[in-house]
Amino acid sequence: MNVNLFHVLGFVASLAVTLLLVLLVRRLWLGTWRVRSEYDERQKAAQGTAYRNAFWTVVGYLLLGWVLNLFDVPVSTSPLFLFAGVVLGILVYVVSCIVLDAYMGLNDDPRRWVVVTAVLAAVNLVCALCNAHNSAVWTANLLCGLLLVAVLIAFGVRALLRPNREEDEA
Amino acid sequence: MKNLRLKAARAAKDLSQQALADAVGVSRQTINGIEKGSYNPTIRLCIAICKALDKTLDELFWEE
Repeated sequence: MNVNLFHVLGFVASLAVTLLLVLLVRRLWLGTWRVRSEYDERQKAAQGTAYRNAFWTVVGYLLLGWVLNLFDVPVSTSPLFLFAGVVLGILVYVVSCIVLDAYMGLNDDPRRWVVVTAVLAAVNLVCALCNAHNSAVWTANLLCGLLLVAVLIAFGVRALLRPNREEDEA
Repeated sequence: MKNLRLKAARAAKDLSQQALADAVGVSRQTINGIEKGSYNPTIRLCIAICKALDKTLDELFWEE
């Protein structure tokens, strides 16, 4: 595959501009340059469990690809297959964190998070529709959009089944 | 094992789980987990809780 240097530079530049815009929006909206959420000790331990869940899921997924390869189904070398594995790992990690109450940091606003995630999901899905002629971009946007939708659903289900109220006490 | 002494000490101070959590710098779910017995806090957190509730470690966390 011929890689045009200007395409690469354009990609890197657009990534840098996007990151700067995100930081600027956070500064204007939240009043802080801080980008890291703060978690307590229980949440950090739970995130470790979530990471382990995601790790073994990705291992199983890659093994599945290897088995399919043995039966002459050449998916394991497909970039889409690998990207889908990354998305699956992230999904398992995030859903595990949500279930274990370790996703929202101490200083995070759940409502803002839901709004931002919904907007990002919509943007990705719209981009997927607009780029239907370019299979690589279309599938990447679609997978990201579906990931974000799945995360929102997980968050909603968790909120419905276990609302954050004092009646949850011992 | 449930920590009913912690719950009683918190109630005696008229603190909600959220208020105690804010006082010691953790999430409400962490305080809930400690009271339900599903989470074992570090000694650092135990000390912070004791200070917030004006109790000793023995009074809140020693198993009888």
